[in-house]
Amino acid sequence: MSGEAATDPAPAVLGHPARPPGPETSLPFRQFIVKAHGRCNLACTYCYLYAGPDSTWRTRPPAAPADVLDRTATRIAEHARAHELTDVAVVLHGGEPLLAGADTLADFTTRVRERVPAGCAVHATVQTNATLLTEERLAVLAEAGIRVGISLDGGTAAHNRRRVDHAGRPSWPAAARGALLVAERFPESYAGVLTVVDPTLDPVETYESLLALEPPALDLLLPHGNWSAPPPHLGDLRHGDWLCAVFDRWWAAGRRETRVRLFEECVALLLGLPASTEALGLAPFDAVVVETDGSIEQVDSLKSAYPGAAWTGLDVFRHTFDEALRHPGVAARQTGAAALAAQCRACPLLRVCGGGHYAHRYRAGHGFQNPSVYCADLQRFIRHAAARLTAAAALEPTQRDGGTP
Amino acid sequence: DSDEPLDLELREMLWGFDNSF
Repeated sequence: MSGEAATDPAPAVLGHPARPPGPETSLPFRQFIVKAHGRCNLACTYCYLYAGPDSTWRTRPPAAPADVLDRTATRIAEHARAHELTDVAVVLHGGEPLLAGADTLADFTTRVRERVPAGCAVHATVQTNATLLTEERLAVLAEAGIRVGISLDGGTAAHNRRRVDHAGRPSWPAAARGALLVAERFPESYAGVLTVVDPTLDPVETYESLLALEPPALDLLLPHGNWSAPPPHLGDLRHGDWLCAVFDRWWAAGRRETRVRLFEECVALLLGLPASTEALGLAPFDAVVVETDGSIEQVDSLKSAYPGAAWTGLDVFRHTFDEALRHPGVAARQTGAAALAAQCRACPLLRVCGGGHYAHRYRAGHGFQNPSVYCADLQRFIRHAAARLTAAAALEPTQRDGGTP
Repeated sequence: DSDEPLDLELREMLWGFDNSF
């Protein structure tokens, strides 16, 4: 919007659970997802953003103009100062953020670092499909202290068959080049790989192919879907069984070959330790999005539910991030079990499952106060992890260095 | 086959946004 008012119509449906009675106790945002570019050079067949129900991206500028980025940096610093934050995360996202240029991403990140108060660390990451990564661009990102997260569905061409460009050509050759370049030349910049679970693929083969890319971390994301638009292949616990198979391969490896966020956060929750993932648990959610026109929105995954689901009506030119904290959708994700369906609140897995991903709870006419469409799959996976952890707890002690007692 | 009870590095910032690291 570059200084003009937001023009999106207010969505006809909100569907967020009402804030429970009592004083407002919003947590500040600490994660700022900045849409450096709103288009993508790929056209993945399952993309919830470009192939989903929400098409607001069509009305927005392809790249974030300079004034939007400048104002966003100021708003982030303002929020950090107001809440005395010691750490904030800046996630450079898209679309494909590298379409904006590595220099633009570096300049923006530098601007945020210059404007936040002294003592506030800025953790910057770019999330890319890896096809545009070159040695020169990676050097620019590394110099700016921007880590690189990569989106891939496995470590082979077959695994990535749904990740194609706008002409239908496979993205894998370019993505593989980019991923290996990060792993081999810029390992200190390598944040990890995000993979959308495809239950038609062999789970262990997929996991092992990803290990070949040497990621320091992986996350396995359930495909976005909900009760009104169920994800493909839902039923017969295929997603849950897929996760269990990978968990067993990871758990029994004899060494931690890579960090798997979903698995490790599940272990944390089972043991009563702090955890933070959208997929599990009851931790308050503290991320907010700035679109290429400066609109302040909720996270993109909500757009898989219905058109305008992420809309707030706010923008960085006229509003502070504090005003976004009062949006009912933001508030609902900070109230823990109070925002969940009665069935979830009565479930013995509540503190671990947490109702699953917020977007997966949606049902037209019922809003978001429902169990996850993946409820049965999550139960299968969580109980499986709990059983493995219980069995491990019965093992004999050994030395911390792995030697014999 | 859901009503059965589950028995209570792992840390420093916890970043909960799943569509990145």
